[in-house]
Amino acid sequence: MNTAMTTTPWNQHPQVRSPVGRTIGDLLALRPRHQPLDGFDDVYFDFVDYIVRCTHRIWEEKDIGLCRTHYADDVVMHTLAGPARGRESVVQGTLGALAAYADRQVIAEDVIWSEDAPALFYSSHRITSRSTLEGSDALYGAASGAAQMATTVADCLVRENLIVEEWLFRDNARAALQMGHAPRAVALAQAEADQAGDPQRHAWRRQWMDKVRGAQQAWPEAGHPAEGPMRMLCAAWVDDLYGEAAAAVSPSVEVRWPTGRRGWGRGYLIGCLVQLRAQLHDFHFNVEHWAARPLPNGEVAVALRWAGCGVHASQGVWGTASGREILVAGSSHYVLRNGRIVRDQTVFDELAVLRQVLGGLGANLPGATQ
Amino acid sequence: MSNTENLPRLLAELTALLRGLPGSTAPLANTLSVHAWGFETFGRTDALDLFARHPLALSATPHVLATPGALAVLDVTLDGLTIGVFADVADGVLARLWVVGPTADDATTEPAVPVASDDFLSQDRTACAGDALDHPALDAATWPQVEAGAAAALEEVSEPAAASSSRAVVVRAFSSGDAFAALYTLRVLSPGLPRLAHRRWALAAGRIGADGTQLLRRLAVSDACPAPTSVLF
Repeated sequence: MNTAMTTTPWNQHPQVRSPVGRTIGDLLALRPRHQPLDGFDDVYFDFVDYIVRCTHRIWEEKDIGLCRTHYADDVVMHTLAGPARGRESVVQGTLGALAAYADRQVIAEDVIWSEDAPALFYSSHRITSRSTLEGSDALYGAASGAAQMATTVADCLVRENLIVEEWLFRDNARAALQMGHAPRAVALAQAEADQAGDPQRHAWRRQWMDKVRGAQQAWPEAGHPAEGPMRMLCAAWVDDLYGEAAAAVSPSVEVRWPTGRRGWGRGYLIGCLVQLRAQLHDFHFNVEHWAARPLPNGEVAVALRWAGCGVHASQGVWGTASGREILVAGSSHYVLRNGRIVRDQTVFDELAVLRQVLGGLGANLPGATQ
Repeated sequence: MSNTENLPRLLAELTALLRGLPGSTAPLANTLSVHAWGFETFGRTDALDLFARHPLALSATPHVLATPGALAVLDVTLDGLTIGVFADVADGVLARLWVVGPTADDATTEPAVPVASDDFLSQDRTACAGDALDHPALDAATWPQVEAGAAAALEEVSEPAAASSSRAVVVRAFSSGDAFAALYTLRVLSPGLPRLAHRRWALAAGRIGADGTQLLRRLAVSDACPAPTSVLF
């Protein structure tokens, strides 16, 4: 289902500035409110400030209890490793992360937002977090002094100061490597744990894939900057027309994809798109949400939340074909200059993809492969 | 050769950052990312740490070009090495930085999933990838000189452009009066087998005469950046 029902023009409220190119002093300065925000705490002067400042207050100032006034009681936080439900699970998850990684800096790279219905805001918040393991982590063991610097995109649906639904995409395979662990070994241990216990807890994955397979792609209104990047992705992953997709992209495009993929040029972007698609047969793909906002120097930022699924029937970067049906969901943030993509920063959890390849998250269950 | 009123302040901030002065209060973007000495860092804190470990002292009279959105500096070190510095500027704040120069002995790069890519998408190969339309601050008439800068950068690393599979991508380019600056990333492929690739950066700056010919060009090309270890799942 496509949730983007934008009622507010993408470039309305130019006074609400992106964090791009701003100093930390500028980002944290308090200002009078300059955007209508019914029901939001007085401290927030616009929606970008709400996202950046509440993240700072919770993670850096350690006022974790603010989650109780910033998340709805029945919030659902979607990740590719499964959903977390309820406000208290958010509180507990934040406490656990900070008990292991107390010095976490949450550096706001961008907040690309939309007002999808009156007073219903949607943000796509790209963050790169630096943190050091000085406590004890269930996944990576005791204090080692190892540091993570992984990129996350947190998409939040927000009404009256409360996040009511969130989609969280984190470059977890890169983080595993930074912590000195082999992603496949970490994913295998997780997959083995997934195969114990009630298999119903993995039903979310089947439901998400069913949604992707049944979806009809919706499109933004004419003239919306997200249309070009959406057509590019669909040309690639729906029609397998990679050359046509790349023609919509600058020849100088900068590409930053998960697990250290960094490159420049159309050929490199095609390489990333083909690498994923080549492994997954009977691939279905859908853009679930879009948003766009102005950037400094006349550029435009576009955020697409997307999901795809297919059968892992060819060998490739994820190893020998497993025959399992795999769900991939992520977020792509684009920078447009003169209407053309000059930067693609895509984030998905490749560790959770490997976990499925290895039979985790319910991918081993009867009927999990069509 | 400035065309921005902020230039003296920006140059002072850039100089302080590059010198790695502890306690620098230069107003840098919180997301400042740096490509320098073979490293890539992200965030203001890591940028300051990098230049504290590997400072660069610019001379008193570097060659400087600027637009409101970018700053390019070419300079010569005490060792006679040409070095380049390119900065993205957002709303008057240094937002991203490249130092085009040597690679530090302790330079490292993160492991990465290798991606098979065709840089050319045709047998009709050109040594320079880019389009003047993607660089709105560039006088389009200067584009042939930007392409020539790419060829010169590839020649500098002993890669005859027409005969090789190496390529320069124009990452940034702008004009300032009769001058221009262009930042390139070079993907250099060895001519034999196996076809090993490495990446370099290059910065070219030049002046164009009234008839469109190039009067002067200065060029800095970095050492090879460390190649990432391939991630095999």
